[in-house]
Amino acid sequence: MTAAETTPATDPAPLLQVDGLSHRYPTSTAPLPALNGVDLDVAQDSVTAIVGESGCGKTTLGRMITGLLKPSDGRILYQGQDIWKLGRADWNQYRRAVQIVQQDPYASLNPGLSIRETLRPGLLHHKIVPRREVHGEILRLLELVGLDADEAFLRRFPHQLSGGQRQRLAVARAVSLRPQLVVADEPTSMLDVSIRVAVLDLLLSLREEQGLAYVFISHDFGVVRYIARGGRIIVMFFGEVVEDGPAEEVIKHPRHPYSYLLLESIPIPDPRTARRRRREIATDAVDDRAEQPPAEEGCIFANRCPFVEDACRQARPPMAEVSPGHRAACLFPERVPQLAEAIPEIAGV
Amino acid sequence: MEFLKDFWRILRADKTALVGGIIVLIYTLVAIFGHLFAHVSDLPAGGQAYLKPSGQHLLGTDFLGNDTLSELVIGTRPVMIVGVVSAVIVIFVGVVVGLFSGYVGGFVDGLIMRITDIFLTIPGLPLIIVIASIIHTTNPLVLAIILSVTAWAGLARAVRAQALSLRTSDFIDAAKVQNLPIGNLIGKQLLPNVGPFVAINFLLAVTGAIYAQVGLFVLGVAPVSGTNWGIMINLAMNQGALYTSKSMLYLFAPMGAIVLLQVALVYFSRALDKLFNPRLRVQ
Amino acid sequence: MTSTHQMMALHADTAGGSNSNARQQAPAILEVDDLSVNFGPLRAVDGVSLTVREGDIYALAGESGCGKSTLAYSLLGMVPPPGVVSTGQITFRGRNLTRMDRRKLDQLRGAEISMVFQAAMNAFNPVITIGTQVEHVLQAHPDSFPTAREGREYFEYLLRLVRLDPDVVWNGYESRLSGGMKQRVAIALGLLLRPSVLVLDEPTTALDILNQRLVIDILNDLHETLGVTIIFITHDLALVAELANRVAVMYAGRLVETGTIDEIFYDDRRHPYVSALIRAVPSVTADTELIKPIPGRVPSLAELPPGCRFAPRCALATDICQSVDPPLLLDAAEHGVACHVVNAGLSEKGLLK
Repeated sequence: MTAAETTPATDPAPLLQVDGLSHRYPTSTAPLPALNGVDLDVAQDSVTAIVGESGCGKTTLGRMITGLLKPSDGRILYQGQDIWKLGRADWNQYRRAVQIVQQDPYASLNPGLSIRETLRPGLLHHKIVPRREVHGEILRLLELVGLDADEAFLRRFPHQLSGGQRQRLAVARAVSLRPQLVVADEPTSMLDVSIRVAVLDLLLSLREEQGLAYVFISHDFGVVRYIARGGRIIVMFFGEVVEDGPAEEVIKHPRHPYSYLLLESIPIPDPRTARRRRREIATDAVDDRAEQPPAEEGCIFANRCPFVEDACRQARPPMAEVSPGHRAACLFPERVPQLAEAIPEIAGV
Repeated sequence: MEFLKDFWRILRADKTALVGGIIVLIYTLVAIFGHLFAHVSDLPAGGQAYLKPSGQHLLGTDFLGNDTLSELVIGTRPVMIVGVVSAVIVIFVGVVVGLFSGYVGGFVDGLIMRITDIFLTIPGLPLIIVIASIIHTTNPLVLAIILSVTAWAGLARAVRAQALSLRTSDFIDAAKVQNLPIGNLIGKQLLPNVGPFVAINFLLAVTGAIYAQVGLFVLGVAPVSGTNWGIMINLAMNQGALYTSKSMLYLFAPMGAIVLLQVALVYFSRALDKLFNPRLRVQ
Repeated sequence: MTSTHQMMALHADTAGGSNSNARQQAPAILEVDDLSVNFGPLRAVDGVSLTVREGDIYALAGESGCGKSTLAYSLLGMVPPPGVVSTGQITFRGRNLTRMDRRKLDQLRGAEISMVFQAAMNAFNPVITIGTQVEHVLQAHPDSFPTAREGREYFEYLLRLVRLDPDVVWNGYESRLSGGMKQRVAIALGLLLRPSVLVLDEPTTALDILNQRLVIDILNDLHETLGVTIIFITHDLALVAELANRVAVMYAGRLVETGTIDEIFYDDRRHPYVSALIRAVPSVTADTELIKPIPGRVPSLAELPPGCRFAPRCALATDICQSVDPPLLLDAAEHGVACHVVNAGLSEKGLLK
């Protein structure tokens, strides 16, 4: 299945199901948990982007999907089974199927290991190829991610590589186990601007070749839009999912006030647009409501929402469908303005 | 191969370390091959005691008429064996305990550290003296074990601290996500990162063990038989070296040998730090 | 190739953007003349010349290792050791900063040229209140306000300009404030002594979308209200587009282009790196088919290619590009580009040097 065909006529079983996931860090004194009842299905061979600001829980969610953190409540189902109840062999299998690419290329590689030693252990442990073929497989992986596939390069250490090269190596490590899902947590935010898209293109081409699914965590809508074409965007706010829908839909027609607020605030790399918008925004969209804490009762966004009503404070709005495949946790999604009014350019793309 | 080439380059760049390394190498060769060139006997060779240095006896003679230099040469091997074996034990125990405890964390870590603390607070040298005087042994291995009994604790603590700080790194997370077994995580992922630290501590452990064992011999706590530097000092003192200037050379020669080796080890350790840290080793 | 005449017409068109006639009137406040900063044999800043005029919001843009931070720190006489200024000079209102003695520089810093550092939110002392820290600053510059009370009042005025509640901030500890709030406090602090120039190092890099938007709006407001000249360093082209009226783009230590914001984004005559960089940014409004990364990577300062430093990655590179480092050539509107290919044939049409 290629990236283009993302909604097959028959819906195969999802690769991963996140069911009512909640988490409160043991030492947390905050009134709200880090994650609160997150439901999410990750389909095979799909891209699911998780967007939100820092503290929204997207990193916590990513760590749970990769099995690094056990939730205080809720389950993650892989092939129908709760991953935290898997036996050793099945857990090993899960840990081959789900891999990670991390944000900081300067911290995600072991500085004491050469490139060869970075890629070897995983290949050997999971017996991806017979032992004698490991060397050849390593060279193949390097070529796959656009790095020099030669002996001299294998002996290098991470500190001799640039940020972009390190990230490519991290990607090689992730796909070396031939996973089904790769969780990428802000993989380009620490890279130079001119090469970010190169790494994104690499991820996209690997996806096409190997039918990978991605859970792509980011705070940058521009990057998300690029990688999640044909995929889904999930918007999170203080541990809760507030909007979930097809990527293009969510960006062009956000149906939750928070998503709208985010999209409308993005700095645009076009001076004419920026100037025009500066004159148009008479009263700033971000006023002191921006610093208000999330509401503990009723809609979590109520304290900051410019369209808030009394009804919003009664109970947490459920995720309701606003259009096919597109849901938002808002009682009055029709109040959310058209983004194209603020940024006409968005309608054209 | 690459390792050795890097090693040579590092040594050439740091002359002090190079000098230290050469001296250590000389001592090692003497320890291994010295017996082929030097001879010592227990029998007095009358009239030859405490001769001044000469062409035949570069460092003079001892109270029995034996050539001091020969005694030094013969005495090198037992000293170094005990020193190296003790250091190996200290490093092995300290690193394994430290890495394991730091990586695992939690209750197990707490328990191990409490035990380590006990060993850390017991005064090392007095304990060694007591043990050595109870267990009269000439077996260098047993002696080495006795010398290591508390020395590993400090290293374990320090290595544990390293492991604790590395344990939350992204690359350890990545290794966990690959489900690499704990042996790999500790041995392959964490160990290279404490490498420089361990290498230097190895040399320091050797110096510590040498001082400790020489001390034991000088104090007469360890059995006085055979030839080594500690025994030489012990005998020198017992034979009145403190009261006559004729035996000064016999007294100071082993001391000089010890000090020279220790200084050489310390200088040499400068290169080890660079050698085991990929960032400094590789250009 | 557009003619100079057409370029002048282009500039007059931009309402809100700088009108070149109006620009010519604003006096130069900071002039950098052939500045080079060396770290041993490595030249982090290589022969940079530019002019910042009063009232500018000037962007120093570029990717990692291009020298923008080193350049900005030199403007305050704060080149981190072992860096040294090896050639050229910096003039502030006619005074030579590079030759100034330490004490005068110290007085100048903060009071006339002020800086907000990257991740300034981390620079607050956690064990004393924000108010106390502000008082320390006021005490260090006793001439800035007649009384401590007036200094505090002005600071509270600034806090309101950056949309913070003065009471919450003054008596609070830094742990009470979010990262975005602390960044704004740092900006207020930077303006406390009423400097003529405020330099900001990556003011939005560590911030979320909403906080970024807030800082952008605030900086624009501050510029209008206080008339302060702003210089900011960034790798974020969106930030440049939203804030700057004038831009200098650096690459591997060299200045490759200077011009107005519209020239940088829309002009036909642009440095290939600049046009490629703009094309490489995946934004929500860009056409995804046209987004292209720049192949290769930034050369390390220790291994610079001969000739133009961008040549190995440039689609337009010709023979001369591989051997001769192109000079920055200005046209009549002071739009400077350092590229052989782009500048070829324009000298007849009236290029200034």
